[in-house]
Amino acid sequence: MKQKVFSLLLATVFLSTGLLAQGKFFTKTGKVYFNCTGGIEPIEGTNKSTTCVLDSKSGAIQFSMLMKGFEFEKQLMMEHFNENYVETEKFPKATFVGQIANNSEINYAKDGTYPAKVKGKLTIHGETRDVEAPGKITVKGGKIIATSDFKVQLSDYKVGIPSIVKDKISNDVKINVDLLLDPLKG
Amino acid sequence: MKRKYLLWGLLIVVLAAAAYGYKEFNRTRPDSKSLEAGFTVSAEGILKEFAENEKGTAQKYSGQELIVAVTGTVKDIKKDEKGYYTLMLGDSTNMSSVQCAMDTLYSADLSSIKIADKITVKGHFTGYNADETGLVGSDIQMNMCVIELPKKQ
Repeated sequence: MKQKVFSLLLATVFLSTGLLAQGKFFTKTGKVYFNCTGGIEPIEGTNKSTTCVLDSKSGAIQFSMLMKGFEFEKQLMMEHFNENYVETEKFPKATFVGQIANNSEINYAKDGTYPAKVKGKLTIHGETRDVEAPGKITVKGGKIIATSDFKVQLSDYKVGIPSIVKDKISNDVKINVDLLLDPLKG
Repeated sequence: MKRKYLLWGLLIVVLAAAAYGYKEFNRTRPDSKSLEAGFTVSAEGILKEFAENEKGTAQKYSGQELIVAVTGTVKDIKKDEKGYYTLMLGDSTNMSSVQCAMDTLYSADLSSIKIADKITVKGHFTGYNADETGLVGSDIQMNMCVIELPKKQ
C-alpha cells in the first residue's frame, strides 16, 4: 500500500514537472525600455504593458505592445514620439514573432539561468525586419524571467529624424526587454 | 528715447518667449486626478464594443491624451519589484480585461484594493491590444491611472 502511494506521488511530481516543461508561459505586464539619446538630454521611454507568450516546448515566442503605452519623463517628448516619430494613430502596435533558436539547451524543469539566442521578425511603424538578439532565460519557482538587450536602427523602420535634432536623437536605439512569465493555464 | 523703449520691449518679448519655451520643454504629464474623463464606461461594455467592432470603436476612442473612466470588478492585481501596480478589471470568466497601469504617485491608495472589489479607474487610454495568439485574451490598456472616488451628491 505504502509503495503504491509513493509511486502515485512520484508519478504526480514527474507528470506536473513534465507539464510545466511542456507548457506555455505568458505575461501582460512585461517591460520594454528604449533609449536613443544622441546628445545631452536623455531620450528614453518605458512600456510596462507588453504582452508575451512563450511556448517552452517549441521555443516559439511572441510579443506585442501598444506604442502609446510608452511613458516619458516629459510630456512634449511623449507628444513628439506619438505624433511625429512613430505615428501611433497610424501604427498603434509593435510586435515580435520569433523563436528561441537554442531552446533545446534550456531546461525549463530545472531552476537556473540559461543563455538564449532569439531570432524573429520585429514590426515597428508598419515595417518588419529580421532581428537576432542575445538573451537570458531564468527558470525560478515555476516562473520564467526572460531578458534581452539589443539594438535596432530607426531608419530600418522608416522613423525619420529631422535634421534639426540629428545631434539629439540617435539612429541607434538600445532596447531592453524584461518579462516575468507565469504558466498559462488551460 | 523711442529706440530705448523699443529695445526694452523687444527684450521683454524675447525673455517671455524663452520662459514659455523653457516651461513647454520641461512640461510633465498632467496628474490624472485633475483631468476630466472624456468617456465613462463599464469594463464589460468597452470590451464588448471592441470585440464586436474593433475598427469603429478604435475611431471612437482615438486621439492623443484621451482620458477614460472605467468601472469594473478587480480580477487581478499585479505588483512589480519596484512597487508599481497594474489592476485588471473585468469578468473573471473572460480572458480579456481592462488593464490599468497605475500612476506610481498614488501607490498608497492601492494597498487596500482586493480581488472582487468593484471600483472606478480613470486614466490615459492607450488602446486595444487584440490577442493574435488566441491564448491570452484581448485587452483595453490604460496608463497613469488613478482610483476615481465616488462623487459627493
